[in-house]
Amino acid sequence: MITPSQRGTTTVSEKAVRRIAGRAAAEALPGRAVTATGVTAAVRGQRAEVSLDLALPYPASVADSVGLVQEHVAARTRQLSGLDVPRAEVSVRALRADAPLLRAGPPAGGDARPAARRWWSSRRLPVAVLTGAAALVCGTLTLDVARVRLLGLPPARWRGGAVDWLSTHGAGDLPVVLGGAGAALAGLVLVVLAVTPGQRRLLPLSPPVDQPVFALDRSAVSALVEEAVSDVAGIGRARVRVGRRRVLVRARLSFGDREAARVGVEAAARLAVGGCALPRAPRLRVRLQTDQAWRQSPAADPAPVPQPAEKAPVAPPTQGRQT
Amino acid sequence: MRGPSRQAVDRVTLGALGLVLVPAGALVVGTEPSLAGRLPSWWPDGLPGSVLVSPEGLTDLRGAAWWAPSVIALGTVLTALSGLWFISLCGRGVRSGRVRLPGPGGDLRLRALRDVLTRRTVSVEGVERCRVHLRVKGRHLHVRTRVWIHPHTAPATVQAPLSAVLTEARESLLPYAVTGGTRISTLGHRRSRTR
Repeated sequence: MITPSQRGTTTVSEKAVRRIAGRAAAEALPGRAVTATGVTAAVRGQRAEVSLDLALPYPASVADSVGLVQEHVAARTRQLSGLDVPRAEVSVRALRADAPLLRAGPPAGGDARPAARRWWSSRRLPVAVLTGAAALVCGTLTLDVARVRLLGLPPARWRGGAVDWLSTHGAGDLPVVLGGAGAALAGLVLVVLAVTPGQRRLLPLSPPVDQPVFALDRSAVSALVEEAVSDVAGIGRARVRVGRRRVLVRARLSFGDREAARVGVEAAARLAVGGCALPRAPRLRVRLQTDQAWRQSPAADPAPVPQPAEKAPVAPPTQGRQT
Repeated sequence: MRGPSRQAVDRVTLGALGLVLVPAGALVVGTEPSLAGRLPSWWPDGLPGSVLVSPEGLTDLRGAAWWAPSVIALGTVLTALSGLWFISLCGRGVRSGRVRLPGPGGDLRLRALRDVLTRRTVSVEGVERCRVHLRVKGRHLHVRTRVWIHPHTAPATVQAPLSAVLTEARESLLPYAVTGGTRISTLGHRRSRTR
C-alpha cells in the first residue's frame, strides 16, 4: 500500500512552461506570423505566471491580436502543463509589416477638399529662453537672500551694486529711458510672437478628405521647380524663389531660342508647381537671362519657330542681358 | 511632446508678458525730459518717486519680520516653476514608453509603433527618408512625420500613400484616436548643369 506522500509529485519546470507559451503564441493567429521574442514564466505551486514579449503582424488591430494571443497562450499552457494560468501578460515589442501598403483610391469628390490651414508654431524657443532666464534670475536672487538671512553671510557684491544703481537712478535718466524703450520693444516682439502663426517656411497643402494635415517646405517647392526648369533644353542654371503667394524663376539660357526657352521654362515650372497640391496656385514669374556665351540662332528676328541651335557658325555675338 | 493646450498656455504667457512690458516701458520712456511737454493730456504721470528704489523704503521693508521669509518663499516657488517649465520645453518628445491596450495585461511599446510607421513611410515610392514623432495623451495618439522626397517626385503623388499609412495605423490602434501631420521636404543638393 502506497500512501499519498510516497507517490511523488509532478513538477513542471519553468523552462517547459516557457517553451509551451512561446509555441502557443506563435500559433495564436492562424495565417499571420507571431513571434515570441522573450518569454518568462514563474511557477508557484499549481500556478504559472507567464509574460511574453511579442512581434505582431501589421497592419492588424493590435488590441485584438493581443487579446487572442493572451487567450490562446493561457488556454494552451493550461491544457498542456496542467497548471493554472490566470492570464498571460503581453508586451508588444515589434510590429512586422507583412502586407503591401493598400493603395488608397482617388479622393472622393476633388472639390470637397477641406481648406488648407496654416500650421501654428509652438513658439518653443522664445518660451524656453524666457523661462530659462526667469529661473536663472529668480534662483540666484533667492539663493543670495537665503544665504544672507539663514546663514548670516554678507550679501553678494552684485546685489549691493544693483540696489545702489537703482537708488541713484530714476525717472528721466538716459539709461533708465533706454531700458524702458528696450522693454517696450521686447514686449511688442512678444505680443507679435504670441499672435502670429509663425512657420513661415511651410506652405500648407490641401489635404485629402479626412486625412492628415500636410505642409510643404517652401525650399522644397523651390528645389522641385529648379529641378524641373533645369531639365528644359538650353537652360544652364535656374534659381527659384518661393514666396507665400508667388514663385519667381530666374534662369540662365546657354543656347537656343529665347522665346521657345521661355515657353518651356514656364510650362515646366507650372507643371512642377501644379504637382505640389498647393491650395491656391501661386503667381509665376519667369526671368530669363542669356549667358555670356549665348548666341542668337541663325533664323533670328521675330521668328517664333524654335530652331535646332546645334551650331550657329555666323551671327554676331549679341551679348544679351535682356530679361 | 507638448500638446495643443500647453502650447496655448505658452502663447498666452508670451502675449500677457508682452502686454505688461509695452505700457510699462512706454511709461518709463515718457519720463524723458525732452518728451515731457509733448505727451497727450491723458498720459499718466510716470514714475512715483525720483529714483527707482528708495533706500529708506527698502530699509523699512528689510526691517519687517515678514519680508525675508516671503522673499525666499516666493523666489523658491518662482524658480521651481520656471525651471520645470524650461525643462518641459527641452524634452524632445516620447522616445520610449508604452501605450496601454484596452484589455488587461497588454501593452504596446511606442518604439515598435514608431519603427513600423517609419518603415511603412519609407516604403512609399518617392520618399527617401522620414522621421516619426509620437505623442500620446489619454486615448489620443498624434503622429508627426517629416518626410524627405526626391526633387523629381511631385508632392501630390506621395500624399495619398502617406495618408494610407496613417489610415492603416488608425485601424490597427483602434481604441485610440490617431491623428497626424506630415511635413514634406526635399532631399539632396541643388544641381546645376546644361543639357
